[in-house]
This record gives sequence, structure tokens and C-alpha cells, in this order.
Amino acid sequence: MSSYLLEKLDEWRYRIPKSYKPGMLVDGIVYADEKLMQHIMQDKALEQVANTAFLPGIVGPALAMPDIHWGYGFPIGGVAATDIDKNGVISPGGVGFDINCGVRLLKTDLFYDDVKPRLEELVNALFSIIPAGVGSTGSIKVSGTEEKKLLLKGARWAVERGLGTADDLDCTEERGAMDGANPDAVSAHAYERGRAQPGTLGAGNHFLEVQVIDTVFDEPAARVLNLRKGQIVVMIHTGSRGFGHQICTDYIKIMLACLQKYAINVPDRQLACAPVLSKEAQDYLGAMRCAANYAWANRQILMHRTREGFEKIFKQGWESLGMTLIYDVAHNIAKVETHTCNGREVRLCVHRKGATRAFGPGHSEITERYRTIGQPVIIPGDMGRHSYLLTGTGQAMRETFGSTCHGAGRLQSRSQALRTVKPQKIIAELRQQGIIVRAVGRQTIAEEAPQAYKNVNDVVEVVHQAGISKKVCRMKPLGVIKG
Amino acid sequence: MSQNNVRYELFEHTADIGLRAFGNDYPGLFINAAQGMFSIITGGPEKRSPALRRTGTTFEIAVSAANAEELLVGWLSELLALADIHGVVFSRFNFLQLTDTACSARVTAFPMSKPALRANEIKAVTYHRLSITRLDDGRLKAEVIFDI
Repeated sequence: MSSYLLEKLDEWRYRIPKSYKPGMLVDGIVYADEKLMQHIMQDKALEQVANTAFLPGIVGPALAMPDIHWGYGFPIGGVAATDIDKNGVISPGGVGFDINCGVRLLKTDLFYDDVKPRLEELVNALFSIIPAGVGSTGSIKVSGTEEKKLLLKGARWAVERGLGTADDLDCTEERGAMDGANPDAVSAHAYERGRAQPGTLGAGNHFLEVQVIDTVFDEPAARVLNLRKGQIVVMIHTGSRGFGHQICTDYIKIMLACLQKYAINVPDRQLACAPVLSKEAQDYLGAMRCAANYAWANRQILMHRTREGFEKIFKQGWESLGMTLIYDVAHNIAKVETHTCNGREVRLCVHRKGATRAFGPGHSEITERYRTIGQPVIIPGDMGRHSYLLTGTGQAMRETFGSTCHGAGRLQSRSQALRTVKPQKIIAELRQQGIIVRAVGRQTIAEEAPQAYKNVNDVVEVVHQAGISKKVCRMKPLGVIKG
Repeated sequence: MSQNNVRYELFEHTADIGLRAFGNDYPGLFINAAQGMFSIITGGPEKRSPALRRTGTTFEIAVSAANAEELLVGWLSELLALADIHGVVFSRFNFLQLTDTACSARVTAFPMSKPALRANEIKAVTYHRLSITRLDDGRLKAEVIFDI
């Protein structure tokens, strides 16, 4: 897309007018500054924002966050909401294959000086405990009956097995399980793929990081979250593994047939969709919620394994190490939510594809303990720079259906990174910065090298300045575990 | 344009990986696409473990779709699902039937015991920019993007 087609609204927002392409039902709005926009324009992400504006029933603009990059169908970093009661659609491609890929942040009461002398030992212990890598399987294998229970209960399934506490659920989006999960809408292949993967990290951009809080921007919010500068936290990024991949694969195929059935015109088959109230869409929602719940169980198990790793190294129970969950958020999901549009309450299907829910202070969906500050928003960066904790805002409720960015966003393709980055060199450079990296696959280190990503500091500055979320604190990685 | 002996090659995509496969006919195209996909997963034949040279296990699969392009996605997706379920990679493919809208095949899998040996996790086969075209030299070319 040429720059002249983009209208700069202010320092942090650009508009793609709906006149850009016949068939767009609404404008596109991209949150970015000039520097990020230069990167964004280098691939086809903006074209994909325009394409999502074709979705029947879309309300408000098709949105893109500053970490936007070229995906398949939807851009990564895209948000689109459709009016359920006006034939609005749901698109499995608007959620993605890794349903409820998300991130959770676990605090400790340890400080940098406590961990520094034992960092290597700690990272090695976590690396041996956390199953990671392509096709990795965990210590938990579930029968078909048990898997159904997991799909309905989500993180609670793990908590009931002693892998966490009720407090963990209170600090998880949707309390770790979406209502309306329908195990009968799940294929045999998905069940089979899910059987051996609860409690596994996977590969690609998934990770577990031991981090230190290096800057606090919002002291009052940090106090509510029990966080201080120098404190050690752990971030876990993974999703619903093969189970979720299969759900999306199954339902895109079903939705392709819906395009003709419901006379829907979208410019990319990957945007295949159906009206939310149709049987096909309801089945998808039921199956997608199963995958979302699978992902919450997965991150809950991994968090518990992390607690066990810390217990082993520091010879104390995790409770006395203060290892409580700060929050867990989904990055790839579709939700039925009520928002105010043009002064009236509307029931929407909000797709967040590489975007985070960011509900503002006072929202009833936020756990009471955080209701005064807004929903915690966790933004992972790359393995060499920073990650952030933010809070949702009232402005996000008004502008973005309560949504914000989800990460740094890729800058280089994987093959570009592979050509230009030597894994050993990256490991050595990061070690010089005090960051220890352990990865199952060497290629992953090259693909996930810091230079392959946009600078998360730039991305977060945009959402902060635009007012759709608010910086609380920044973390620096110390130990990185990759698949 | 690629040389006649190239069976598949990769192309750039910001977050994912694109595969361009070639074939003299549809079975050849589908087989080369499958081999290309598994080369992404394993990091190429040269990195395969001795375990892969053991006698394989045979599966019979059947897929249907609305057209040849979507059939290609269905074929690759089915192989990917079976590979994930059984912890295997496929390297022998024998089509029993292949039309524009349906295929059945006998495929042979080899164990992939160590996750570390695999180079990439392919989450899924996408329909984004999916195409099958006929080249001037008569060969078929398919392009497909994988979610990594």
C-alpha cells in the first residue's frame, strides 16, 4: 500500500479510508508512529487490514496495533468486531491457528541479587522441567474422557489436580475457562493431537523467561500488583498446541463452504467466515472455546512446573517465594462482548488476532483486586530487549473495543533472520548482557533473534501515548527458554 | 523461474514460511509439496536421524475438497495432523486416486524420536495466497504458506 493512501490522523494513528478498496465496509485505523509505519509498509499487513474491513457486520473501524505484521488472512496485530445481531460473522482465520496463544506473568518475592548467583542453575533446572521443542510432549497424557473435562474446565482442571490454586484462576482472563465450550464440536484428530501435549511449551516464538523489573512507570498501579523495581518475575508464552491448530484447520474448511451458502464476499480464502448465529459458527465457537480452555490449562501446568523449578533451586516452597500469578491474557481469540457503539449497547464478536484485551478500570470482567487500575496487559518483547506490563484504559473501551497490542511484532522473515544471524553469536552476545539462553532447536535462536523483531519499546510507546493502555513496568530478560 | 529439476523451494513471508512446489502432474505436485513441507519440519534430509531409515509404518488417507487448490491444503493438513499425532514424518507417498476434488493415498511414515532434530514446528497449512498454476513448460506450480 502506498503512503499517499494513508491518512495521518495524529502522531499515533493512521487511517485507511474505506474508499481504498471497493468492498471495504468500514475504514481501517492503524496505531503507529512514523518510524513504525515505515516498517509496517514494507510487507502486506496494511492490505490485510483493508481486507478485514470486508467482513460482513463489521462495526467501527478495522483496527491494527503497532506490532502489526503480515499474517495470513488477518494481519497479526489485528482487531475486528462484528455486530452479532446484524448478521455479523466470525472468522476462524481472525483468531488464528494457535487459539488462545497467550502469555502469563508470575511474580516472585526474589530480587535480582538473590537470583544472579544461581541464574545458570535456575535456567538449567527450568529447561529440564519445561517440555519444549517441536512436537514436544509432556508428563501429562490424558484419556479421551479426561481431555473432555480439561476442555470444559480449562485452568481449573489443572488446579483440581493440585497444579495451582483458586487465586491463580482469579488472575486469569475468563478465570481460565470460557463458558460455552462444546467438546462435541471437536474432531477426532484434535482430540488425538491434544492428548499428550498439556503442559508443553512448543516451539517458534513460544518461550519461558526469567525477567527482572528494571523500570516502574506507574507506582500506584505497581503497588496494587505487588511489584517493585528489581523484583524477579517469570513470563510464559504459549498456546493451545496441536489441539488448537487442528480446530482452526477443521473449521476454516467448513467456513469455506459457508462463503457460498451465506453469499459472503471476502478477498482472501483465509478470511472464510459465517454469521455468528449460524450453526457452523456456533459449532466453531464451541470448539474454539475448548481450545482456549486447553491453552489456559497448558499455561497453568507450565506455571506450576516453573514453581517446582524455583523450589528445587531455592529450597523453599513456592508460596514462601511469593510466586503468585499476576495475570494471564489471551492474544488470539474471539469473544462475545458488549460494547457501546454510537451510544447504544451492542453485542459484538470481537476478534483479537495478535492483540490483547485491555479493559479499563471499573469493568466488571476484571478481578476485583485489579478493578481500580484496569486489566493487566502483558506485552512480551524479544529475548534481548524488554517486556512490559501495562493496564487497560477507558479510552481503549471507547476506541478499540478494549484492545491493545500483543508484542513487538516481527521485522524480518524467518529465512532472512536465518541468513543473517549466527545462533552461537547471539547466545554469546546475550550472555555478555547477562542473559542466558537455552533452546531445543538452534535454528529457533536465529529466527527469534532480537534483530528479527521491532523494538518493543517503540511499540509500547505508541499504545501508551495513544491512550489505549498505560505502562506500569518494564522487564528485562535474564534467562530464556525456547523450543 | 526455477529449473526443471527443482521439486520445491521456500519463499519469504514475514512471520511464516512459503513453499513453492513443482510437478509434472498433480500426483508429482502433491508429493513434492508434501516433501517440501516435511523438509521444513526436519530441516532437510541431510539432518535426518538414523531412526528415520528404519522400516516405516503405512497409513491410508483420504481427503476431499471443493477444488484442487483446497485439496492440496487438505492433503498437507492431513499429513501434518498424522505427523503430530504419531510423532512421525512422511517420506513415501503412493496415490491410489487423485482428482480435482478428492484423493486417497498410501503414505509411509518414519519415526521422529527427538524433538531437537526438527527444525520448525508447522502449526498449519493456510489458504492465504494459495495457488496452483500451469507453467509455460507444462509443469504445475503450487504456492502455499505455512503458519509457523
